[in-house]
Amino acid sequence: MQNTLGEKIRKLRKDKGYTLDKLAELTESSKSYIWELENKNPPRPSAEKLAKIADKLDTTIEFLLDEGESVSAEEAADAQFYRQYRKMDSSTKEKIRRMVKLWGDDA
Amino acid sequence: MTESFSPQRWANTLTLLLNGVHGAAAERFPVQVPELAKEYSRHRFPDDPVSLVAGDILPTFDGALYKAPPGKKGWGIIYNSAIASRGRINFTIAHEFGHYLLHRLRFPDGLECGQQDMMRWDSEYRQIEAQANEFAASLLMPLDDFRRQIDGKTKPTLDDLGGCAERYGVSLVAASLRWLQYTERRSVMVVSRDGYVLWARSSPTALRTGAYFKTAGRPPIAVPTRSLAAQPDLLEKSRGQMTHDSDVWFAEPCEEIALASDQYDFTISLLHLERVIRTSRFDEAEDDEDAFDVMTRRLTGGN
Ligand SMILES: [Zn+2]
Repeated sequence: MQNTLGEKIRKLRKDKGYTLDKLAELTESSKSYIWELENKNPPRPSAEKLAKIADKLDTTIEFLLDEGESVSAEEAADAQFYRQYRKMDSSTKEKIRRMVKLWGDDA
Repeated sequence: MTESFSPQRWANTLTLLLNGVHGAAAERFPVQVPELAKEYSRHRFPDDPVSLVAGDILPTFDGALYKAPPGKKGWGIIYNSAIASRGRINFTIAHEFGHYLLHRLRFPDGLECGQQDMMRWDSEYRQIEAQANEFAASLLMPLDDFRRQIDGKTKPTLDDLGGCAERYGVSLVAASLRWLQYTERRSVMVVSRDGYVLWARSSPTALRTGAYFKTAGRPPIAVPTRSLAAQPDLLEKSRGQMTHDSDVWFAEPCEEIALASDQYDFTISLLHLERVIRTSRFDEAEDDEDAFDVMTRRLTGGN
């Protein structure tokens, strides 16, 4: 599934115009480690390492680790139907819900 | 039970059906999956058909197979119509149709396929995902037709493979992976980003002769510094071609055809190796010596 931590790091790094080498140097990591973090699913880095990365990218650990909004009561009611879809953003969920309501109109 | 059909068997069944309907007519390809899914399932499984195929702009989402809500019959395929390429949408719908045929009894609530980004297309996939992809590839790109476009001995360019991607309504990566399954040539596709290999796939003969990269569960592999993949500034209009000596990609020479995709932010390198590999370096040296001797004799007028 989506490697959101990696995607966020990569985007912030690119926004700042840093190469992999640069971010590795700034955070005292190896270049291949940063690449792995961005593109694969390595074990979550230590809090210390993450704090360094967040600092150099002008963001917070909370932002990097936030996996999307928590499940609301209404969404929990749909949990059976949407069991596997927690990571979807809420507007996507809402649209799918609407499409499902219209089900049958084109069947 | 039909649910125990393999992905291949389902794809063959549908391919024969489509061949029968269209023959060699131009409209045979690309396969129109939404119509096929609805019509076929209505006849084959009238109590449990695919009753909805619908797309919308659905960020963070690729496709899903949902059970119809109470009071309605069958299953729905919902897909993200905002996915950048039409080829990937087509593949996604075929993939969900595969889940319907292969997995709906095991997953009575349906299945959601997250963002099937091409990065992970080839690796670390759960078995059901691999099966749905196998079904989709086989349905959209039947091998008999693919061989007629590029036969098993031909060395295709990325344009040749792109032509097939167009024909079958799939992405270049999907068409290339399909070609790699049947080619007799020794070829390897490497998908890289920021100088490291995301994943790679070898043709069967390349794999057998040791030309492959294993990426799953291993430290990142850097692309060779002399490769095109490592030198995007050598590409023109995102494309390039280069002949490499030994010890660039492999211990042996190869030809690299590269394409940088801005859209997906990765570089595809298609590596063509020599058809036959010599048994050892010692033999190779001997061959060279023989050839040299022969040439010397000719040049010096000897026999
Ligand atoms: Zn799937």
